[in-house]
Amino acid sequence: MSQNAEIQNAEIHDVIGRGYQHGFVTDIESESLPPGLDEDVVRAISRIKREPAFLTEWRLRAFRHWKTLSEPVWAHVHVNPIDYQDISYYSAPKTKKDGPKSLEEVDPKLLETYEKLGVPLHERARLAGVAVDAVFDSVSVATTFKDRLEKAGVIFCPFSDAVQRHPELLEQHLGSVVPYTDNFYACLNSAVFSDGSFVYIPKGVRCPMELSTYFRINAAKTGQFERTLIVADEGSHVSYLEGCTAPMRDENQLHAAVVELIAMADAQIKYSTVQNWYPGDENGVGGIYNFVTKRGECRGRNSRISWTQVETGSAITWKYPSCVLRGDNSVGEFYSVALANHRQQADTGTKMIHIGANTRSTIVSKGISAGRGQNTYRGLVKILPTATGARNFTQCDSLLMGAGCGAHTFPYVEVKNPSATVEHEASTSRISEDQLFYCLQRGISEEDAVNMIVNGFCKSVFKELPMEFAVEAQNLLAVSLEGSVG
Amino acid sequence: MSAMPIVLPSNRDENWRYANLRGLARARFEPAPAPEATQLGDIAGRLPAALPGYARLVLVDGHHVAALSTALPDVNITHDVDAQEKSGADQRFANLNRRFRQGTCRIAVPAQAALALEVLCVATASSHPALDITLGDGAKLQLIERQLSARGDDSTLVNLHLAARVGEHAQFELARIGHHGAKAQALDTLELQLDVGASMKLVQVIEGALASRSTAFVEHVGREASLEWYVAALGEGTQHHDAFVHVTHAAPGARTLQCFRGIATGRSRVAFNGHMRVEAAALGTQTDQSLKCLLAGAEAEADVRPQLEIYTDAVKASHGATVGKLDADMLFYLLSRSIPPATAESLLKWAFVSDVLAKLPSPELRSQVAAALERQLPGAATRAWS
Repeated sequence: MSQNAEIQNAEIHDVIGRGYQHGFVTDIESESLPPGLDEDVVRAISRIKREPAFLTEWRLRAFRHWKTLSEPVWAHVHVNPIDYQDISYYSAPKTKKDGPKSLEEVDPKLLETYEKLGVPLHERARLAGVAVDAVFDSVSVATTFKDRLEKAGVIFCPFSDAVQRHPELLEQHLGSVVPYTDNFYACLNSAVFSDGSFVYIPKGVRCPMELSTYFRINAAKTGQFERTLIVADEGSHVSYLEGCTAPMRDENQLHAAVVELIAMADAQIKYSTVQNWYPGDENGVGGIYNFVTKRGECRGRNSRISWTQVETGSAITWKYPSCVLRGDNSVGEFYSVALANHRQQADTGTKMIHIGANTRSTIVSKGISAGRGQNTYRGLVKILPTATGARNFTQCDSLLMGAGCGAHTFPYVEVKNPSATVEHEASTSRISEDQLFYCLQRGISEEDAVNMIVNGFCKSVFKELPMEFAVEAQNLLAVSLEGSVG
Repeated sequence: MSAMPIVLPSNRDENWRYANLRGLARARFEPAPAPEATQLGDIAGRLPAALPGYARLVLVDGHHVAALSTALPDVNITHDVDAQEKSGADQRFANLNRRFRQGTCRIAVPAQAALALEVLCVATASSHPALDITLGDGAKLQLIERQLSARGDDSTLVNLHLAARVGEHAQFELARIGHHGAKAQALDTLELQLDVGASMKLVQVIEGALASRSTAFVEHVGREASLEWYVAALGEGTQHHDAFVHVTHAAPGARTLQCFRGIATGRSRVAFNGHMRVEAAALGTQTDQSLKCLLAGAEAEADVRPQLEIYTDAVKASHGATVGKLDADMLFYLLSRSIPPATAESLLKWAFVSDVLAKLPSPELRSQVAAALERQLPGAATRAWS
């Protein structure tokens, strides 16, 4: 074997041997609300955030509605009962009274945390070319490249800043894609959301760099309820990346986020996620409950929203990034890799709602089940009577690795317009013995061969990711599959 | 008879979301009495021509009519009182049948024996026919089950229950045809178990009736059992046809092929929900679903759900589903050869459902079905079978 190949192999083994890397806890003083949820807690969060009256009222309406709802039970997952009164709904690192004005004022321990996570918060790391908003528990601790973005007219700031600086934009768009009545977890989020990111791209602007938000849960006995709102005005373009990690704990922690995307005429939004919340140990102890509502609306003609997600973490994932294709000729895309290893459970997929004429959507979903993991694809393609000439193509493949795992596919195809064309295809099988044999007989170890085959299986999704994320996603997949071979 | 309240499924029940249950809220489920001897002549005149080689069994409103049936040693008619009801939304119409049935027609085919039988379920009002079938080891049964309204414009309601156990290496071929009146409601529940090496082939043609719902549960309990399931649904006007098939693979080496072809014209709606479940013990299972719908009406609707639920890695499962209009290239090909548009469309629709219709077991039955489809597929009666 050549020296290069040996080095490469060593790197792969290094990656495989690492396990969950981001399970450390940052020892930092924090301020938290006591566990429990009532109207006083909702008002307290709103008061801490110095929110205008309309937002406090909106939260309270959401909370009152939430009390009338019950948890959804239709997903193919087993959720241990959640005591919503045992969660602290606000936790933030103690900072100077008015918060940091620049990176220099950010607590060095927090900067160190993000350095460990490989998130470039120092703007000197210009090569990364990504503006980052770092959200730590319930608050945003730093946002980079603000000045450069402002020059282009782009607003990229923590949600709590946007509340102060752009209340009119929030009032106009918040809840317009995911109303607080949407579902149990979105409703809870609407009542108690603490921070998140807000992005506004003005008319005709192509965002000069990738935008990214990195979510980190640190404190115990808390949940994270962030909210992201991205508005791309006419003719604009933005690519947004999202990453997330959490410490290793024996308790299950709840993450119930809401993401709303709005694309006006001729606008494009590309939203990429590498989800790496702590998945729990191999016996299913601990891990994040990741119950997220993500939806984009193509409001204008010729608009486009593209979701790309790599889901390797979380004990349970319940997530269906969707597109409402309202504008004529608008396009929705969903590319997903979801991995469930050990005792992980994932019920994920998408909804494509075609309303406008000549709307098009593409769904490519790759599910990998290993160990005793249970992976479910759940998707809806709905063509309404107004969607003349609509088209959809769905490909949904599952790979099984281990006798105790499960792969499930629950698609819904509902077509109410005779001029539409909808195609759905799916396959489920284990790794091809021929492919494995081909690799093994060339001296590649079984584990490396499986990683190669899995990467090939996911290639059509990885190629949709920005380059830095694609590399991270491949590494993550290798780590997450550790121990699933043999 | 039980006095328990009647609980119907609703569209909020996951497997009933595409069913048309509106008309059932006002329906009368109490079964019609047995036909008078004076009515039998009229009913006999409306029955389809006998099929060569097939014995005939006639049930009118669920009552066995010996005068119109062939005498068969392998068929017993028993009267079940308060048959055990089962829980779950999917069992509610089966439970109605258990409550209201006017006897169970038990068909037992002994080991290594063969039987070809046609069962005609005639409805004049509400009826709850019940068939209980047992195939001994190595037995062979060719069964044609047809449902028809006594008069074409009747608001009849048929709620059939069919249970079958197919013994080791036995073969069961079941053809199901509905010839319902324009206002009829047609419901049925099938529960089938396949033993070691057993094979089952079902061919179903759904047409007629204002609303139909077919519910089936099949279980591969023995190893290397095989199942082929072909369904064609043709909707016109405001018709609504919905089929749900749940197949459980519980033993190794099972094979299932599912093929659905639906055409919706006018304001009609066709729906198919196929759920394949592969248990951890069902190593080496292979399943394939091919679900295709054609929309040929401005307000027509098609809904398909090809579902897979798999708990082992030693499996090969695939499905494909398409919904669309007639292929423009194919249409152009025919039009460019001077074939009139209406004929060209009919030809293409015929080709579309031929995947299913060609599987019907006897030439005479195929001709009768083609004649019944003449209104929806003009020229069908004269078309050659491939």
